[in-house]
Amino acid sequence: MTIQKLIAKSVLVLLIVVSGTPLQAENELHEEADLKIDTIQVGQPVKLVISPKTFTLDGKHQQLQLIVTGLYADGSVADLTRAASYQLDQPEIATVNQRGAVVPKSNGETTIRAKAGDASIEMKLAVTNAESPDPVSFHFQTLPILSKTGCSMGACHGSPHGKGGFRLSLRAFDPSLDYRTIVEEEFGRRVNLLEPQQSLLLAKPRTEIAHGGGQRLRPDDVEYQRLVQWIREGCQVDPEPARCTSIRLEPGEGRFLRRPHHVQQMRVTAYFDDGSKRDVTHLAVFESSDDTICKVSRHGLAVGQRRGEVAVIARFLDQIESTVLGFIDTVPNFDWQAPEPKSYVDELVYQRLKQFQYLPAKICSDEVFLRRVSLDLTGLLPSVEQTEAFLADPSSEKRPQLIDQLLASDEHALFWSQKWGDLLKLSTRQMGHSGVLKFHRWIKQSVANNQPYDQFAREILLASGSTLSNPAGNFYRTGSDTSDITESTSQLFLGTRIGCAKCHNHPYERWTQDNYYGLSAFFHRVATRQTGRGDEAVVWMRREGEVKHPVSGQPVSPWLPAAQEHDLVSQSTDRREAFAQWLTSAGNPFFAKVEVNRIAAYLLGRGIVEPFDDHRDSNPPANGPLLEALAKDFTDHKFDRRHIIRTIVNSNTYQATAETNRYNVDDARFYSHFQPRRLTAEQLLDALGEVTGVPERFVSVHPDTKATQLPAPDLKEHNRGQIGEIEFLKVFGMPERQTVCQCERGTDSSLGQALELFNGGTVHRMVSSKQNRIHRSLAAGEPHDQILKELYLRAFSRAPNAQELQIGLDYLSRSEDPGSALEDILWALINQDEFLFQH
Amino acid sequence: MISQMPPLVRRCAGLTLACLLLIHPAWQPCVCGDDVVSFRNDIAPVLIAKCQPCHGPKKSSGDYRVDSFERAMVVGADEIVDRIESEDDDFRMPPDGDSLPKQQRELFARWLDQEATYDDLNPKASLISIVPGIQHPAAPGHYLRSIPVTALAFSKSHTELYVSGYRELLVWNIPERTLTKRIPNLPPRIRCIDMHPSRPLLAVAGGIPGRLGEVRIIDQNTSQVLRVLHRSDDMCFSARFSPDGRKLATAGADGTVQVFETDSWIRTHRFANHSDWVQQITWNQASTRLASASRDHTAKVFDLESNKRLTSYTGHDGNVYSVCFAPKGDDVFSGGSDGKLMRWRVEDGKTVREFARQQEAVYQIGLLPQTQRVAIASGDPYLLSIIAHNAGEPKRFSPGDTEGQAANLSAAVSFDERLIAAGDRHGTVRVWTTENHQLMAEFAARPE
Repeated sequence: MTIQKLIAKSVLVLLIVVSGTPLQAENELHEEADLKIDTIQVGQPVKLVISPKTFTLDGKHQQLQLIVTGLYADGSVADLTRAASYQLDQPEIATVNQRGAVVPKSNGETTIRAKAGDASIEMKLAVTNAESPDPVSFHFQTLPILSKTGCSMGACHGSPHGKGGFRLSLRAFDPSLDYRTIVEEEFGRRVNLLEPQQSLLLAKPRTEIAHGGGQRLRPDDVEYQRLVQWIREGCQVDPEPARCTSIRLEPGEGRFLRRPHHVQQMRVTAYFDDGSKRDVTHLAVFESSDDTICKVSRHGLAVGQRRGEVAVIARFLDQIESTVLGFIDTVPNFDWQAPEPKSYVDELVYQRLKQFQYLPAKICSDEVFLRRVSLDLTGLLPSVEQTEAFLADPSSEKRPQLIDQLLASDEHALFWSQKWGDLLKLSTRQMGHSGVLKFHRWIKQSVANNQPYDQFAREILLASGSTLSNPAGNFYRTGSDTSDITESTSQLFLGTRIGCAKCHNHPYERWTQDNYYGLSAFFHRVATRQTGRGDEAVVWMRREGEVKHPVSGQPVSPWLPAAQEHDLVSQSTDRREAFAQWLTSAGNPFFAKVEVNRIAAYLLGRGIVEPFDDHRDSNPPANGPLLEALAKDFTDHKFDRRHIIRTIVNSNTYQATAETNRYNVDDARFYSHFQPRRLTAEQLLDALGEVTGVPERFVSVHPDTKATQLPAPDLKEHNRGQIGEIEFLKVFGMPERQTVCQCERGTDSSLGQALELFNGGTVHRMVSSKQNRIHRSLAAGEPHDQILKELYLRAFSRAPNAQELQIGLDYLSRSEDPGSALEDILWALINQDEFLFQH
Repeated sequence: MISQMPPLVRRCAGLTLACLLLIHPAWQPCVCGDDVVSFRNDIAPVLIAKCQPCHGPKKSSGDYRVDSFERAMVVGADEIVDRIESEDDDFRMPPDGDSLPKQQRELFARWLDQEATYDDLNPKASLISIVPGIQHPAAPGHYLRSIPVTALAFSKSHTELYVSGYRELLVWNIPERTLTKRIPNLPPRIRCIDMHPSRPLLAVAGGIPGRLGEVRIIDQNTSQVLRVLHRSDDMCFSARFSPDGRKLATAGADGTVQVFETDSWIRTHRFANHSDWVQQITWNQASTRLASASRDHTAKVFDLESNKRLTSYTGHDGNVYSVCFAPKGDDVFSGGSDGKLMRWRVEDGKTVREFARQQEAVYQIGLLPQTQRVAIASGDPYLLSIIAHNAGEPKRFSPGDTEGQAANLSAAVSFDERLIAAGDRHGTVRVWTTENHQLMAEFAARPE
């Protein structure tokens, strides 16, 4: 490959490689007519299962969604709800429609028999109050319908200012406000009590009047008819509505469907605090975590699009449940083969790959491994001496040995401290110059000593007193108020982006506004004060003060997810203790998972949950068992972070090549092969320094400090005249540390980066410096092939192959000035993917 | 049956029915023999009902609008008819299996045959302003439910109260609490009723939410509709005769304030200064100025002589629902969703002082000139009157039965100032004496 071609290729890759957090689109109502659904092939099920086995429909407007599952001889399952035929002992009691939904007709009891193939199964149905009036419930029908049709979603009338003068609470979280808006506001303009169909509330969504949101309802929709009835009944509001306490989504976890079976009917059951339950499938909102894998129709039919796994999320009022569905396509000529697993990590990864018929990649070469693991554990390229020694080492244990050696190094502690520096927002703006240096030293000590993670978290969360003597207290200076600290803590240690719930119930997960303030009650009394002594601040606890709920105005008591009453009470006056105790207890469902997932993401390029600080039901892990196993291992080893790093790095999964084969080329989720990723800004700057022999100097710190070891991105007052370097780091995505979100670190590619590499000041200065490595080698009279070989070893951790060496030597022999020719070659090498990417 | 009528009658019947499409889009008009198809009568109502929702001023899909003849004809009548007639799902209009009934399509085809003629003067005029005034369907004989009382007015005799009904005005005898008269042919929502100071005329503002706004002038003696003014595509909220009886001012959801001569019904002024609905307007005693209350959070004063806006008042934090000039006309009272009653100066729009602060929105303000008091109706369960120059001596007009009491959406003062009335959200009307604030009558204004 010529040098020009190499360059052209790397620019292309730079510009193409783009990653980022997936955009969360709000649910579109999928009509079944618009989904491609293959005819259900019944075949010969050995057995049928029907759910539920018994049910009582109480009231003429209630419905029941049946689910009929076929079990086959080969162990596979299929949803036969729509393929089965239904027979009722007492046909006057109810009917079953083509979706397998039971609609009541008259009071009584009947058996419903479902038949498919030669198999059949029965369920018992009772119908009561079919003849009594069944007024529409504002809370449990009207509002869920407005939510289901999308009226109250965030992009429409659920936005803070509404749309077109009509404002609903987001997803109906404030029923009394919605009642006033719909029935009373603007002199009752929106409802017509005498001619319900003429109501603006209905004429708009059926687009008889111009409607920005387009057609949302048709007069023959059940939802529409229910709204008409509600208005006809005088827009009644339930006098004392029962509270919906939970919902259940069926089928439960872990159903895998193999083509040609690719549909699954879902059912949602709502449970109320008066002990009643209702089937609310027709009122629930369904979403899929990935529409390219599975779409869910408005009637709750999940339709697989391609192989993979999704979370199906059902929402009814403020209740959310999710369940996982897998879709498997048979890949022609797929022949499973995998290297011998090294640990449970490989076993669980392979299990998943086998299930979805992806082939794991081969183990990478020593050269690739050395470069990869050095960059991951220390942020630095291996030196020529290290590389040569490692490649020459015949020991079969050299990889584990190298890993241990790297983990014990100072560079490792410094590089991984920088990751925590990002997360804990270390910057001089927040805590002053000496505050940064002290906090950074504290973190580095923790990493170097492999401090158990629970202790690390406790020391940060419970920090009190002077930040000079207890630098972890600087954490409380990185937030401007209780909300900031609550949101940071939640994102760091619970992996939850809870910020939305500050103003309204979280639209994508089960966090409510009450939860938000219940959590912030733990931190409300924390106060910080500058002492005026250098950059010192004091963190202390006020004796009183309660956080107030913005809607009710009432003080909110501390609350924790899935906690017992006694968990909420601290032994001392410091409420944070109860929180820290709960957080770091072995049974905590978030703590261990969030950290092992973060470590996996750093090492494997993608979290098991991705984005790795966004754990929620609607964002399922790519490999749930792996996440569980890592978390358990972590807890069992007393939160030993180094143990988890070592386990992952020693696995085949980590050591897989980046080269794909035809059976895994389209996988980016299940770790079938290594995902190449661009060096981070700091890694790149250090690598350039290493390869050229002109390392970047940062004036405010020790002269040997590397970019990957900088305590903060903004040590500017000590760093004047160095703006150029900071600019280089900024261009390549070094975060300013304004948020605890990992997403602040840029991993994308830009034109600015390409220009910086082609002819930016930093690269130009390093490449053309007469003091750089090539000029020094030339001056020392080293032979050309030796210089070239060293260049390759430094840049790529491998020797050049014969062709590469020949191209280089030819180029040198044709030029009059070997110094400038070598500069060209150096420049070409650092513009290659092999240099810019970790692979 | 229609075909047996003489041509002229048939023509009129077709006309009326075509217009009804606005309310009953499912209704299919008759094909009236070989009569000439009228754009105003036959085509425009269909365009309004079936096309304008997507091709109108609010939403103009494909950058195409049909809200005036000129705009609709940009694509040519051929294309309109082609689209309506097309068998191709992607080409046909209206889309999504919602195609026009055969008889309507034939009307369009015949209109094209007669060269797509226009039978009004101004091709730029909005369709809604050229279609003939709607004959509103009859009101229901009895109401299945109570509806909010959104407008009230006393008769000159003080014994009768005109109350907003559904497609009608309900005239109630106060002492007897009986329904004495029903005035039909009005829109389903009525937001303002005003009595001419000397002639037997009524102005009624209202409409159909999201579809129609209009002001109807009614002959009190015959109950006939004399004129339909200020027609627009959403509600009209206010119509007030000037104290000298020579002018009528109207306002509505189109954000305009308009003024008409009461002799000729010619429009003399049109103010489009508000950026949102104008909820109410009121005259000064000299009949020279108008004050307006708007959902754009402002109240404004307009001068008719100079044809200019004099002041814009921005002291409210929310919708302004009601305005009223202070006795000398130099100050204005205004009230709105923030629950405040403010008094401010016409001269510079500066607040004089906050006169009252209610828990709920203030919907209606009325002046009692003889006693120099100002009365307000609000979401709170009583009416309040206070001295107009210093907010002193607050008097409460409380309902007899506070249990079911709802927000008072409307209020009126009798001409002799001896009575004050309010109508609430649940359809109850109450009348008090102003002197000793005694409850005289309390009844559900609902034809049973």
